Parts: sequence; C-alpha cells; structure tokens
Amino acid sequence: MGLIINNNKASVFEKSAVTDWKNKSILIVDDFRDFRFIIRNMLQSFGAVNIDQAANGESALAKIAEKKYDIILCDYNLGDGKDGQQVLEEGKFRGFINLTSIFIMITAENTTSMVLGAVEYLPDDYLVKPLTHDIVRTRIDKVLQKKLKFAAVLNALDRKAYQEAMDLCEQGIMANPTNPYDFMKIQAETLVAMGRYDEARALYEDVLKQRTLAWALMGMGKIHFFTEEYAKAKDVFQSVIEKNKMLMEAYDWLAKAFVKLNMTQDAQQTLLAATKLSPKVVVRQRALGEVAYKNSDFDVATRSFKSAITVGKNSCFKSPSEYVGLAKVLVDTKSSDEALKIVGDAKKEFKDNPDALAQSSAVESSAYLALGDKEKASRAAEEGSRYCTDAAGGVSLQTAMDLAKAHFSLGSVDAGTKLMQDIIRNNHEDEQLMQDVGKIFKDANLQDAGTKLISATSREMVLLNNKGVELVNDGKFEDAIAYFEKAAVSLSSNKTINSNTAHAIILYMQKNGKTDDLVKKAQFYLDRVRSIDPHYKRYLAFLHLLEQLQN
Amino acid sequence: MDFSTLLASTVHDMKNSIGLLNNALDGMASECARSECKSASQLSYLRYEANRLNGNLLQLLTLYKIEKSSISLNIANHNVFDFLEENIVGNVPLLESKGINLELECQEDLVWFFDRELLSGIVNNILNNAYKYAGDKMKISASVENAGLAIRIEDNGKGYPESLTSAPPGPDRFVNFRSGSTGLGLYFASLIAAMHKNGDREGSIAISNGGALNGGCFSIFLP
Repeated sequence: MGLIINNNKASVFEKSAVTDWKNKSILIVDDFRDFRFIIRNMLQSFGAVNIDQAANGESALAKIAEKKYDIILCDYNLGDGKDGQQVLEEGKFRGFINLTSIFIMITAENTTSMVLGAVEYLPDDYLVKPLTHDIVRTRIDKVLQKKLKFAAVLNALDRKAYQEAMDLCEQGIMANPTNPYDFMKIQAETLVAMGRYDEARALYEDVLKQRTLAWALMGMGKIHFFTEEYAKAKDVFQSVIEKNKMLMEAYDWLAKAFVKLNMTQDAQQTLLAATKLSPKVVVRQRALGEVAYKNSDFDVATRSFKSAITVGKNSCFKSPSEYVGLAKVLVDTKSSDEALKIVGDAKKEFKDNPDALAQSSAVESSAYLALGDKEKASRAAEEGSRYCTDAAGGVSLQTAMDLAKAHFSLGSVDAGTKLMQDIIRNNHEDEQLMQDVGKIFKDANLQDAGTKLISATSREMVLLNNKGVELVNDGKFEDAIAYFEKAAVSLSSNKTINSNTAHAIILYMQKNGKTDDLVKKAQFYLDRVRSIDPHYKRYLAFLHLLEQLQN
Repeated sequence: MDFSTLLASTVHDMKNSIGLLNNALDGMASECARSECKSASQLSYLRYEANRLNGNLLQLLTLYKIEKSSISLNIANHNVFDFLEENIVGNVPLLESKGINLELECQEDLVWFFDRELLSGIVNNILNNAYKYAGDKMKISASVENAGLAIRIEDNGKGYPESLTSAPPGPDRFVNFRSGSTGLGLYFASLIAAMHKNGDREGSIAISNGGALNGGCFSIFLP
C-alpha cells in the first residue's frame, strides 16, 4: 500500500530524509511532563539524539542562554511564569535565538484565534495540539527548509547590508515564480529600511492588486507614517484591524498615528482595545499609560502602568518608565506617599542603571515637594544630578527633562538650566522638542530666559556643525573627522553631529581607501544615529555609502 | 472568571487528554501490527472516534468565536501541495488500516491564499469521515478553476445521502438534528469557506455523488 502522488507511486514514509535529525540539537519546553515525553519519543523515532527538556519559561531561557539549539519546540502555555511568547521574545531580544534556529510554538488553540504579536517576535511556525507523529515531522522539515531558503537574505539584513539583501530578494523572486510573496515581503521591508519609500510602495501595491494581504497593507500604512502622512496611515491601519482583529501590530501603529494627529483619546481607545486582547505586552501597557496620562485619565494610567510593572516582572522588556509613569500619576492624584514607595521599588529594580536612578530621583523630588518636605526634595534632586554624571553617554531625554523640572520647582535655576542646555545641544533641529523645552521654562516662570537660551544654544550648534561641514566641503577630511569626533563626545544624542562624523569618515575612506578600524568607527557613529532615529534621511544615505564602500 | 477564559482552559485540558489518548492508541496500534493481534481494527476504530472528538471540539470552539465575532481569518499564501500532503500524511495510517488507497493529484508549485489552520480542520474532517464511508479508494485533487482554488475529496463509497446533496445552498442546510450526525462538520466547512472572500466573491462547498470514483464527492472552492 502507499500513497499515489500525481500518478507516481510514492510512500510518504519512503520520502528521502529531509532533515538530518541526528545532528540537530532540540529543546522541548512544556510544563506537562507526559507531553514532553511524547514529543521526545516522536523526535527519537525520527532519529534525533540531542534532545533537552525544560518545564517552564525560566529554565528554558537559562538553557537557551547556554546552548544554541537548532530547533526549539515550545508550548505557548507554560503554567505560571513566562509563557511561550515571552520565551521567544526574550530569547530573540537577548540574542540567544539566532537566525538559523527555528522556534515552533505549540498551541492548544487554533492559531486563527491567537493574537499575532510583533513582527520581529513571531515564531517560525505553529503546531496545534493534538500532535501526531507525521505532522510533527513534516512541519519541522518544512520549517527547516524554509529557514534555509531565507538564511542568506536574513543574514544580510542582520548585518544591515541592505543592497545585498535586495539582490538576494531579487534572485529569490525569480527562482520562485508561483510563490514570490515571501521574498517580495522581505524586499519591500528592506526598501523601507533603506528609506526608498516610493519603490516599497509600488511593491506593496503590486501585491495588493493580487490579494488584500494584511502584511502588504501594514507596509503601506507604515510608509504613510514614515512620510508623515498620518491621516492616510490611520485609515490604512483601521482597515487592517477591521479584517484582522488579532493583528496587534495594527493597533500599535494606529495608536502611534493617532498620537501624531493629536487624537490622543482615540489613541487611548485603540490601545485599550489592544490590551484587552493581548494584556501581557509591557511596551503596549506602558504606551497606554503614557497616553492616558496625557489625557489626564489617571484611572487608566494607573491601571496600565501597574499592569506594565506586573507583566514586566516576567519580561526582559521592563523599563523604569512604567514605574516613573505610575509615580507621576500618584503625585498628581495626591498620593505622594505611594509614589515614594514606587520610586523605592524602581530604584531597587534598576539599581545598576544610572539613567533609571536619575529619573526616579527626579520624581522622588517632586513627590517630596508635594508633601511639603523641601529638604528631602532638594536632596533627591541633587542625587538625580549625581546619577546623571554617572550615566555614561548621558541620560535619556525624558530623564533630563524630568530632572530639570524638579530643579526648577525647587528654585535651582542653574542646575535646571544646565540640563536644559544639554537637551537643546543634543536636539537643536527638533522643533517640537524645542517647543516642549520652552513650555517647561514657561511653567517655571522663566520664559524669557528660556527663549534666549534656546535661540542662543541652537545658534551655537548650527555654527558648530557648519564649521565641521566647511572642513568637509574643503576636502580637509582628516581635520573634519577630528573636529566632529571631538564635538560628538559630549553630543552623543545629536543625530546631525553624529551622522556628519560618520560622513566625514566615509568621505575620507572614499578618497584614501577603507580600513577595518575606520569602517568600525563609521559604524559606531551611524549606530548612534540609528538608536536615535533609524529613519533619519542622512543616516540612511550614509549607511548606503558605507555599504557601497565595503563591496 | 469569564466564560471565554473557562472555555479556553477547558479546551486546553481536553486537547491534552485527546493527545494522550491518540498517543496511547498509536502506540498500541504499532504493537498490534507487530504481533498481528486481533484488536487492530478495533484500535483503528477508536482512533477514528478520537479524531471525531477532536474535530468536533475544534469546530465548536471556532464557531463560538465566530459567534462572538472574536475571530478573523489568518489569510496567507501557502503551497497547496504541501498543505494537502501534510493533512493526508496525518490520516494515512488510519485509512490504510482499513485498506483505503489514497491518491493525491496536485501541482507541486500550486500556491493559494487561505487560512491554513481552518482549512486543515475542514480537510481533516472529511478525510477522517472517509474511514467510515469511503469504500477502498480516495482521490484528493486541487487545481485552479474559475479564478479560484478547487479542492476535491472523492471516494468510491456509497456517497452522501440525498438530504445533503439536494438541499439549497447555505450553511444551515447541513444542520439536521434528526439524522445521526448533526452535520456540524459540513456546517463548519460551509461557513469557513464563505469567510474566505476575495473582492466581492466568497468561497463555498459542494456535496455531490459521482465524480472520478463514482462515490461521494466533497469540494471546496476558494476565490
């Protein structure tokens, strides 16, 4: 007996072994011991010998941190503690699950009803219980084959070698005429990463002509967003949600579009709907808290920040923001005692993070001030400033602003002004931010001083930059590099200065040939810009130049 | 605790039980095959019923979610050949144990857009039913027709009853509480097919007798 396929006698079991099972390392993660044994036996019957097991998310991550597994089979439900999605996210975020490993999520529910999480953290595939011997083998075979197929292009993307990725996509599309869609998706995403929005748009439109696919619509929406057409973006994301209720990414982007359109109530409603469907995502709960705070909806803000804190305990995505956010709400709602408790928790949770400590101290100061204890408030503000100096590379924007506000509230004009000046120097081209800075000065009754500081410092930065640009234009690349690098030391968050530094290095290499050290240096400055604004036009342009140089 | 959560955790529990049940049955079936014991056909029959149980569970849960509007199809591009092969593979042991030969006819590079999990549920249901109704031959085929994907599952058995083949179109025709089976599977298939829309066209299923093997013929059409 056997199965006849397309008039050829073929037994499914006689199919030539696709996967080299004996050389694959496999991790089975499930809280149900009998189930782990069943899977293990199945895998052994395929020929696998290198099989480890974990009974919960925490031990799974500990194992993944130590050993690189080719295949991870992980149940979505893992009892208390982290769930399968959290294992996947943390594993990927911390670099334990790399490009060649496959992660298959085992679920009891039909995947159609599952929330589809963030794109970067989707499993390679799903297996729905109950599992059968043959389905497990066939599915794993297919996933491994697919991974192999896309290995080269994913590797290129990982190295930010976008042109290389484009070429590989082109090859992939031509090699798969009936099923080019997966390569087209990656190609479009690469074009977006390169800032080539018109070409990406054309590609998405091509796909949409054939079928209304969610990922193509999402791509279009994101392009609208990056080209600042926020109303169009909103429309697209809304249409995605209509047909794809479980696509969480759509809610997150819709909320972002609403925020840009100053429709913060709608943003809040969107995030509320999303957190109802998928409550265990720290980033989303935090975003909801922040939007609710902007809307002065303290109830929702409190609940969301608290959720973010609770979920964060099991997640690598926790941050001081939710603690600080909650503390601020508590101060505003006259619960400064409780705010101080939260600040204490934050300082414990993030004791090795000077930025977090600085921000916590800033809120601590405002809490003490609200309680009428000016002395403790002063001490907290000073402590905050000390942490600022400890923080290598400076503190985050929000931290600096919070601390400046705290100083101003205590009448420490100099300390506050110094922080504000640093903010201006690092963001002199960000109009919205300069307005926010102006407002802080205004609220502290320092409007005139603030206006003067902003214009003087901005002018200083423009002159600083122009001087370096002049050197570049005069072809004095070595001098330009030295000049910009010196400036960049105290301006690690200024995207103009940092990208110009990289540019000077690239120009030098274009003239005098590349060296590994200089390439690394250019990458260092470009990475800085990337962490500030990955869509900055100059960053994308210089990244492209650097890639060309290396080929 | 709200009903949805209760339902989800109970289903999870039931799925685990079914998984253990299946696993034990498969183990016994291979032992049985080795020792040529007399319980082989009984074990197959149990496997068939366990599959029915699982199918009903899946359909019930999905229909519940559709009812509550908390479901959206996850339409993506899939290789149809791989899809059919995978679903057939899961059912081959059961069908072979009853002496049913299967034939698959589908181009290896055929790609279409559908919700893989839901369509799997439909195909598995039909294939499992074949254990009881098929005769000794089955043919599964897929091709593009009328700008849509047509999947046919045909057998050389006695065919479908007239009440099913002659009813007017629409999912409700399949639900008939007077007959032995509620027709849940076909109701489900019809509903899911219709949810697969492309522009202003929607999918559908068809039940008839005759076909390539002169028996029962189930087909699903997805635009």
